Parts: sequence; C-alpha cells; structure tokens
Amino acid sequence: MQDEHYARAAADLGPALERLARAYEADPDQRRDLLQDIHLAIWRSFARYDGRCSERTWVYRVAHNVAISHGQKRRRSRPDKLLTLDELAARGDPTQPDPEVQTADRHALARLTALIRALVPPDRQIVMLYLEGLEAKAIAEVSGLSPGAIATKLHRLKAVLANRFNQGGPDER
Amino acid sequence: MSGDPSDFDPQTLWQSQAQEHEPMSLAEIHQKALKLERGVRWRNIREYVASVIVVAFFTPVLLHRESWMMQAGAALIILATAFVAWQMHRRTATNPIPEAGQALRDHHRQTLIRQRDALRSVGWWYMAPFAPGMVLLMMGRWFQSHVSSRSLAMDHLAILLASGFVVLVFGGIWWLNQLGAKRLQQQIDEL
Repeated sequence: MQDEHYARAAADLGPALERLARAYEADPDQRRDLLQDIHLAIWRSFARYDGRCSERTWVYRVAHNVAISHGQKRRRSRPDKLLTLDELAARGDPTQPDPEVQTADRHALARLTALIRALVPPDRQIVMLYLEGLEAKAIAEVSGLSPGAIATKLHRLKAVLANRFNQGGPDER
Repeated sequence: MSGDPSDFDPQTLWQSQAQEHEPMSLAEIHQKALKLERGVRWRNIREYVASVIVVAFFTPVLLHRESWMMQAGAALIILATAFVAWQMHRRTATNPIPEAGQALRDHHRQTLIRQRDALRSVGWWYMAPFAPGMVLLMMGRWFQSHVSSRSLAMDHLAILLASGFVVLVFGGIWWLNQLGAKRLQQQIDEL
C-alpha cells in the first residue's frame, strides 16, 4: 500500500514537488538533495497515512514540512532576513533579477521565485499553494490556518503580485 | 506574459516551469530509506563509542586509592556519561519524524518549540550531570592528591586554572544555547 500511495502521489504531484523544492532552495545541488529528501519523506510517511485527509493534502503537508526543516538548517549558516506578506507589501522589491536571465517570462519567473524565497515560511507556503492552483479551503486544510485567514492572506498576496508585476517593478522603469 | 505586463498570470507562469529532474524510482526510494536507517545506526554507534572512551578515560581514576574524592568523582562522571548517552538516545529515538503529515502551522510551531526546549534544557541533562563528579575530582586533587614534581602552590594554581577553564567552557556552551533558545522564542512569538 505504501508503495502504491507513493507512486500515485509522485505521478500526480511530482512536478509540483519539484517547483516546491525550487522555491525553497536556490542552490542546484542542495535543491536536488531537498527534492530527494521530500520524496523519501513522502514514501516513509505513507506507512502512517490513515486517510484522515486527502492524499494531496497529506503530500503537500509532508513536502512543506521537510522543506521548512531543510530551510532552518540552511538559515543557521546563511541567516537572511525573511519577510511577511505585509512587510513585503510595505517595502520595495527585494527580488533582484538574475543577470543571466534573458527572456521576459524567465525574468518574471526569477522575480517570482525570489519573492517567494524572501517570505517567512508560513506566508511562503500559502503563496506556493496558491500558485499550484489550490483553492482557499484546500490551502487552509494544508496549512492549518482558518479559511478566513487564508482569504485575507490571498487578498494581500494578489495585491502584492499586481503591484510588482502588472504596474512595473524596478525592471520596467 | 512576455509582452503586456497586464497579461501576468502567476499561476500559469509558475506551473509552466520545466522539470529539471527525473522522478525517483521506487527502487531508488527503497535504497535511500535503507541508507537513512544505516546512517541513524552509525550515529548511535558513534555516540556509544564516545561514551565508552569517556568511561575508559576515567576508569583508572577509580583505582586511584590515595583519594576517595577523586574515585567518587570518577564514578559520578561515568554515571553522568551513561545518563547523557541514555538521554541522547531517548531524545533522538523519540524525535517525532519531521515528515509526519501535520498541518504546516502546527509542524512549524512544534519544531521551533522542540528546538527551543532542547536548547533551554541542555544545562540540566547535558552539563549538570557532570558537575558533581567534576567538583569532586577537583576537590580530590586539591586536598588529597598532589603532583610530587610540583610545589603545592603551583599544583593549586594548575588546579584553579583547569577548574576555571572547565567553568568557562561549560558556561559558554550554556550561554550560547540560551541565546539560541531566545531567538527561537522570538520566532515562536511571531507566529
């Protein structure tokens, strides 16, 4: 059963897990290790999966929890100041574009990724789940926050994204 | 997206990223799980070996018949070593598996609380157990056992310096751990 659960989850959510690892870890080698750790953790966790929540919710919880633990270990050696969505909305764009990025889409993606990485873990998780297309209710189930709190955060997030990407950030100046 | 910025759809952009890595096969997962188990086993073995070395180091002092204080101190240090090894085993063995499917907020909070408590409690389970034995050892050296090649004053000075060094190291470790616990508490309060 454990293998079956895992195989199904990896097939359905594999690309989302890779994007999750990318949002948490900038270094390619560390990212590969993180992704492997996430897959291993999901496989191990299915030994205790009791069906209380959907497989998708379970997988997202496990993956984010592993990524947070990874991030905490990394932050001990590289302590960056992380921001909440509110702080992000109140200050300038912390996301510097990658100088090697050539096209506008990749540029926007690099900025979006940098913006996610600048957030504190709880806000980062909500942003990523939103970007993966989850509804507010599903995000609330994964995160453990109330649907109302999620709705407020999503409202703030959409405002930040609109401000940063639609009306021109520093790059469009 | 490439042209008009008002076309920006973050979800589409995010989900359109190309995959960098091939998915892991079940065989690879099983292999990694086995490796993880071996790693935990080796970590435990290393901790036990370290404990055996400490015990082996203090066992000769147990036979040092000219100072009962030093003998008692060595016995207490050996007991403290066994206690700390047991504590480390207990704390790592019962450590909740971080990948358990808890809601993110709960997991994040509980992880920080666990780390804070571990740092806060280092004093009582890792350092305090060695204190009585160390004190008895030093007292035994001071009152009952002198190095014959040194004057009494020089011997006492050496004991004082050694004691000061031990207090500094223990105090420094304790202080750093309390500082870490304080930082974690700030993160908990911010949640």
